[in-house]
Amino acid sequence: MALSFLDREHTVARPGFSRWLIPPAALAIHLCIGQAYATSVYKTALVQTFDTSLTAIGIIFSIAIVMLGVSAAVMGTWVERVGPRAAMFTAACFWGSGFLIASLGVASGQLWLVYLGYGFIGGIGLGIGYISPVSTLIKWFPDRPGLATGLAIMGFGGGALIASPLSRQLLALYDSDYDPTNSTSVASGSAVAALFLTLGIVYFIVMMFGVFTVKVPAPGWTPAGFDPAKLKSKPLVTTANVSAANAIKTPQFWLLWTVLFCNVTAGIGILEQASPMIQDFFREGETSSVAGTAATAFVGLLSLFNMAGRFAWSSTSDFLGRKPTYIMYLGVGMILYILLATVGSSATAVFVLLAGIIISFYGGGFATVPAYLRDLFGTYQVGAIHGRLLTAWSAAGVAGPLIINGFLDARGKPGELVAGDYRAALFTMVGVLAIGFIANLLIRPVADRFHEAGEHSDAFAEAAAADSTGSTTDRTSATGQR
Amino acid sequence: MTEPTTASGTQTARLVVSWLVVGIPLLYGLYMTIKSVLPLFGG
Repeated sequence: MALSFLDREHTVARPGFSRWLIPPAALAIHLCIGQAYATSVYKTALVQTFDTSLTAIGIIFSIAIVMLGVSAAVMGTWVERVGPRAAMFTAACFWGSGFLIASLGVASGQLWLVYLGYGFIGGIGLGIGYISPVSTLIKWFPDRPGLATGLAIMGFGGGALIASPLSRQLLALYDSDYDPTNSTSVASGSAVAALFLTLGIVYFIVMMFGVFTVKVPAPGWTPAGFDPAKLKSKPLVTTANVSAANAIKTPQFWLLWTVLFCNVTAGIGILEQASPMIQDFFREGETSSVAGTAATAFVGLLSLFNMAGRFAWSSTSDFLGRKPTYIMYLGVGMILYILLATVGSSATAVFVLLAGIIISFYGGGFATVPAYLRDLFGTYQVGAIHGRLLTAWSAAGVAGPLIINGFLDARGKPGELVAGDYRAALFTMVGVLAIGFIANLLIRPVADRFHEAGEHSDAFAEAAAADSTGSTTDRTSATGQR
Repeated sequence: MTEPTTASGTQTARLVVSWLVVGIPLLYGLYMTIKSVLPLFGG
């Protein structure tokens, strides 16, 4: 009874409900879970608190990212069945309690509790939270799915922009000896524990705002002036529906998996080494013309490009079409990588501009993919299919750093290299993008044999109808009525 | 006649509050990031 707000009757929008309430509900979730990109703020403090290595602390975040991919893939169908409100609530519980357990771990000096809390439990919240609003947004914005998912997934990039400065300010509040403006200053363990406690409570409250705001459209609802027949006229856009179980049997799913994997791998190549990379590109002898503070600023600038690309390119894809948009991400991306390798060291402005556009394509690739999935597989279980596709992100998270670090380790230590040392790694990324480019070109409409029979378009509505039929049957049997 | 106007007013207020809840933190994050980016341009 206490959780009756999660029931279907409270989740279906009444006539007159504005669909523009859905993007802020989705943003409330993504802005919170985007904190996962801002963990560097307290990494050193955790190393000192637990008196351990950076690698041991890095495992916390690796577990979280792995759990993101696993839970998004495994829980996707469940998310479709129970609807966005229950899924967001579950994500809020996992994400919030993950912080609380991690806080207890830091306060008691038990690193395994941090692995369990932030890594395992929080990671499950990340995965469920990431996919929870996607399907709903696509149903509310059938006319502009790229804009809608771009708005939400932009929040994941924006979450880090908020969490980084906020965490520094909170650490300074909890530890008077900590100076957030001094990069060598390290906060105490008790300040990190208090920070985790605060973030856990604040994120839970903000995510609950999303829980109470989100609604699904009533069956058959369409926005004013929207003509579904227009969708049919667009190449690669289907009005049929494919289940998540069938989607992974299609070549289109694996081609798109390859596209996402290649786009993310190439982007991570730059993000992973952004700070030392810009200094190395402008190094003459022992010194670089780019100071340490400017290199840190460059990382912040890339975050802005990452976030802006998510919204701008995904929205643009509604007009360009999804396939041409990925041709741009991957094709223009290849040219930009070649330019970065050849003329990137000619001027700081040229380097910053090239890297910025590359990272905007990286972010755009994340935000556009749900709409691409909707075009190919319909709306029926698009959130669950998206969850399975995100395993490409986890794989790229391993492959990207492996490739870039493999090449750079052979040349020396990042932060002591020159522009030429990056050439082999950057040209390898051009090859990675070329593979993605070809995979995208090979994508064709899904064969009819994979389409669902009948009018499947809403897994949540069908699950509710099945539940209602089941309970009616039970009641009828109990009273002996036929 | 009053009811639809009230409903529309409530809807608008809800929209404004909802976008403020996510917009204010986002603007804070953008402001802080842009401030941190200034050294790159000699600021």
